[in-house]
Amino acid sequence: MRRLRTRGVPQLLLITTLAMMLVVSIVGFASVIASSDGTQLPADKQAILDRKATLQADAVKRAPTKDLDLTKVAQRVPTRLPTHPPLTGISDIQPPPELKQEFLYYNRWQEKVNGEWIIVYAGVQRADESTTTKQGVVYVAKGEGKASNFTRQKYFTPTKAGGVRIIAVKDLQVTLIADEGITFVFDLASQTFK
Amino acid sequence: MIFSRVHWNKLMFRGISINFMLVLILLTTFVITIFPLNTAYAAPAPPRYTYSFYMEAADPDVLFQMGCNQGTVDRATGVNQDELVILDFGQPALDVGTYGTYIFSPTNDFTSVSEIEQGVEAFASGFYGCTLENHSHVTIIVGTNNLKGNFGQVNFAHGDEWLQLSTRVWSWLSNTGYLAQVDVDAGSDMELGYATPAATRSWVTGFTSSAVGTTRLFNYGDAAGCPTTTIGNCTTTLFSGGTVTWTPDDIWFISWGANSAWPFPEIYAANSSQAKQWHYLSLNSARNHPSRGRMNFIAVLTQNGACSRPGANCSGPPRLDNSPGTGWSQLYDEVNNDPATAIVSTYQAFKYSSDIRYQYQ
Repeated sequence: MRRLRTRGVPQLLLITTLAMMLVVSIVGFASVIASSDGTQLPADKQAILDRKATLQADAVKRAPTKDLDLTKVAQRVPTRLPTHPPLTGISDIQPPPELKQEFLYYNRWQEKVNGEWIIVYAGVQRADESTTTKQGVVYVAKGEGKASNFTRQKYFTPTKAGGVRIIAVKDLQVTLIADEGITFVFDLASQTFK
Repeated sequence: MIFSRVHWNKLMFRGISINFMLVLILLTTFVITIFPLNTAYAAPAPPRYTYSFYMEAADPDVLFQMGCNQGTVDRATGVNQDELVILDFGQPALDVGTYGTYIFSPTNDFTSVSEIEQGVEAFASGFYGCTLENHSHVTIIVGTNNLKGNFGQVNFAHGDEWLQLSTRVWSWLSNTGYLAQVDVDAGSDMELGYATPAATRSWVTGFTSSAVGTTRLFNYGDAAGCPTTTIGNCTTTLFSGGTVTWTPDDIWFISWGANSAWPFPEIYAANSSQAKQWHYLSLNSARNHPSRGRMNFIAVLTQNGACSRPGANCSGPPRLDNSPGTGWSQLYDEVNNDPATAIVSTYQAFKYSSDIRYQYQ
């Protein structure tokens, strides 16, 4: 009797432990099985893929013969469509993506002056975005054609008064208003704030 | 019966090995159940990546050459490739009654949907012709974004127009037979700071309103301001001023909830924050939209190439110049280390990787 009693405690512990492990294993496997429901796409998405697959299989049968000489690969020359002149004046059309991290863009002004484009982007320095005294900033880009033909310079407002927005441009004098209401004037000829 | 004292004693007496084996089996099962992911979801090597492009012109001659370059590169690999390429044409726009975009040229010239259509078809022609005997397959994603401001046409009508554009290119590919090697889908760089959820949802609704049924819409945008440790609202600075808050369901709708929407997340951040955000957005879908389930990420976008452009600043913090392999692995690990979001065996899961740069870089 005493032998059984002393053995009973570890046996009970063993059985309890095994039972707990069994439960955890069953629950765990159930969750793994449940997670496999991600292998099924929603029906409408699957339908799009199925339609694509059917039409592509058909296209393979109808694919045009290729000339296997690279020098003879014919370039399709479509009728050239008329291009559109760029927007001029003040607008907030998209800024260069590469400025996104350092600069929160407000707006811009662009005009062609003496045969080259001048583009002014105005906004706030990203690093100051969450502080109470934000640094206003303008970028001035000049050039013609591809981006590689443009130069770009960055200028800070003389005082920190928040981000700046272009409100007027006359005789290459850019008037900007800061978040705090202060007005700045940037002279494009001398590339300085007045 | 097995637990009766008599039988137990007999078992104990006859062979400890029976108990030992029972314990061993349970222990093994237990360990496998508790730690399955470390073995089952070991990340494989990232896939080969393509270049995607911020388009600075829609000139068909230039796009033909770009497609030809891609086909030539694929052919040089000696095997048939399968890949995605985004041609991002920029901000949705309207000019004198014509829909189009402001592209990424320095002066952001307006480019009509007809010009874009012609350019994409030229890319397809170049790819098809220059692969020669190789039968690689490319999916071109005709991209725009959701930048609104005072000029961006982030609305139902432009979304519908973008669908019609993609569908016309699809029909052209089908008619020419190029569809054998070239597929076309649509996409948008839907950034949470570019427009309100309402405007962006309206654009997506416009895109999905017609039951055309062969065009997917990839959201290759960000999740700025979303939590990295839980499911929650995302608050970020709005392009036109102030802040904007998106709910997880707003992002779910534009990325997975709408019928043709697929997520193609930007995973730029070196600290994995964007991968964590998208993991929780997928978890939201799995938990709160069971009919849709977890998001199926078939592709990951990085911007290492764009960061190398002179004047670019991706230095952070956090750094935003993940290599394609790093970005892909970050999302793969975050998503697949959670059984509720794991998609190892779903349709084309993590099949593609692309790195965006400028067309004239």
